[in-house]
Amino acid sequence: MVHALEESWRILKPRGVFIDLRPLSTDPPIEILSDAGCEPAGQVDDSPDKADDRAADDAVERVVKRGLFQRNETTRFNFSFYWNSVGEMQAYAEERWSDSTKLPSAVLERARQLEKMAADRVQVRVTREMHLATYAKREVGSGNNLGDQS
Amino acid sequence: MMDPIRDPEQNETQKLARIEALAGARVIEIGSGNGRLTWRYAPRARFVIGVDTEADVLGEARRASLEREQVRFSVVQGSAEALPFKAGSFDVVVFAWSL
Repeated sequence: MVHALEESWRILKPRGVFIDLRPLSTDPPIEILSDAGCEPAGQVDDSPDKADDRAADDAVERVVKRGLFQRNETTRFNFSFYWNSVGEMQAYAEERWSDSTKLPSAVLERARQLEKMAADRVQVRVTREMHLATYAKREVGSGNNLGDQS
Repeated sequence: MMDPIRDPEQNETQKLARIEALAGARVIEIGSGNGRLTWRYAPRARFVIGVDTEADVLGEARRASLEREQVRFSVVQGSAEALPFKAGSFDVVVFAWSL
């Protein structure tokens, strides 16, 4: 990741900006929405992805400390996914998120129970917390810090 | 497999809209995939080059870009660690769910 950030620094113009937009591993909630309201079913287990989160944070921190970039703004926001059934959500998670998340069986069971209890059509919502940060390119001196991996 | 509806609240779009650096910018998006994120800000940019390691999703993005007349977009298959561009070519680098 540090190499990718160094490459970004190289192709950016002076005072150029890099934008880091990614979901955080915060065990997002699963909710069943129906005309009756919103019922929590539990949480996705994001623990397999936490190491990647830390690695990304560490890589950014390193290039900032080395003076390649200056942190400008950081914000968090919610990003929700909606499916029409628990089965659709499960199929998607197994195909697209299997490397990074797990759906605990007890949570899936509760989600299915809530789906059955809902009289009308339901939606299944998973809301991820997003990280958005911007960094400005800094010029480095003649003894620049590129290649310094310490 | 059914794709979900993503962010109908447009939170992501609203956050990107507040980034002034994207206006009129030469942008390279790392991990651009099928262009889902790109279309949310690309109309404000001067042009966007999408980079991804997967050729099939880049093909999807290229086809989708043809339907978006207001967007100047092209794609490159490759790695973020060795980008085939000269130093100082871009105003903005976007890591799109890819760092």
